[in-house]
Amino acid sequence: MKINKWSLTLAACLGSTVFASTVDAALYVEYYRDNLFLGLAYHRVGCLTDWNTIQSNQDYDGFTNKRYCFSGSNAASVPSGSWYDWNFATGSAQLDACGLQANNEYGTPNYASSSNTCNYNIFFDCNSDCWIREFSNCQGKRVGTISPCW
Amino acid sequence: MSTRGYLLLALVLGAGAVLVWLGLRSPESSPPASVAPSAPSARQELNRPPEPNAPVRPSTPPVPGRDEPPPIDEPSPPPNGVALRLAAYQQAVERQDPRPGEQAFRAMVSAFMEYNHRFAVAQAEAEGIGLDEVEELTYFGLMAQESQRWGEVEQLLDGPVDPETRAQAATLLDELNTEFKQSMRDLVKEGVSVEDRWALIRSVQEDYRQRYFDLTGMDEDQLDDLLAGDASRDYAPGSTPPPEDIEPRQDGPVPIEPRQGEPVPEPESPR
Repeated sequence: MKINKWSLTLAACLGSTVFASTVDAALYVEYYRDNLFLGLAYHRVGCLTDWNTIQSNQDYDGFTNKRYCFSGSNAASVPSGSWYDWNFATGSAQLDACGLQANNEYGTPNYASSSNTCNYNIFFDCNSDCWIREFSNCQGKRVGTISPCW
Repeated sequence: MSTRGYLLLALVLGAGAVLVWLGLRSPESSPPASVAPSAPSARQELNRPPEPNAPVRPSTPPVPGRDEPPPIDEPSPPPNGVALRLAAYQQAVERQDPRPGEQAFRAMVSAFMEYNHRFAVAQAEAEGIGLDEVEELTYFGLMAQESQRWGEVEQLLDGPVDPETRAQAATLLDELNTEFKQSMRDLVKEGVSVEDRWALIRSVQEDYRQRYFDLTGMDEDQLDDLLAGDASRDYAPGSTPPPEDIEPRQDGPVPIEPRQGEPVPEPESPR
């Protein structure tokens, strides 16, 4: 009976720890926007985080070479960027798949700084705004953008 | 100790474990930014002024199954923006405006600002500047982004823009953006006149244009064409005049070769 009680205690401790780990292990895609000249124009980028820190060096954006997501950095903001939205994520594989989809859609292989397929339309529908819109749509929650896109 | 007592003890210990775990994983204990060699230092991040008027990040991690991301509350495009832009382009062409592309682009931005008035007001209040300044700076930010659509730039230049030039242009935009925001915020803090703020706005725009032209080989006319968009595609301006410097072809189109096994059509008799 004594063993059972200790087993119960140990199981409860382990269970609580596992619960805490489960809560803490949630992953997120967090979105940041780099304001241009204090107007309402932005470059937008997503990073994989666990809410405390950024989890990979992969910037989820297109049409720029500027770096934003640095693994291990505080997830509250990125260099030059302010936080503005989030969604749950299942992991880097999910974000990579959506990044690939957006890269294919807008001709930005390997998150290139310019498109090799779309460059034709009138206003802003082949740009980083549309890229992040496609990416976030694929990922599960479309973020706000100012471009109508296609 | 009874079974109930052990259960209680287990729960208390379990809760303690949760608290210790969460405490160890708090944001304050995040690894330093130096984990990534090229990451900006924590001090740099602290020194960077936060963007006013930005959405507020939840202070604790959202919990799956309990929390949901908020609905979109961001500036969005006006529904009639393309038509407005097209009308503005046509009107500018009719009145022989030297920069119809810029006029069309500005009309689209004006429609965007009007449609997103609430955000524009919030931005103006947050930065301590006027609504007209926010509109001009939005135009400038979008124009600068547009000016770096290299596919179209290459078409206008009729030649490639090498990766080094593209990178330099991106760096130019980034540096001017950072410098401008700091300078404008300093001016606002000093309480200078509106005219002085507009002088800074005009100065940074002129600086960008000149350095962009020097870097890329583009000129004012080509930039205006870029802002006008590609007239051969959807939404192309219907009033675009035919080119004046190209003579019509005199010999007519090349006849189409019949497919193999297909009877050769009789030539049409003149009407």
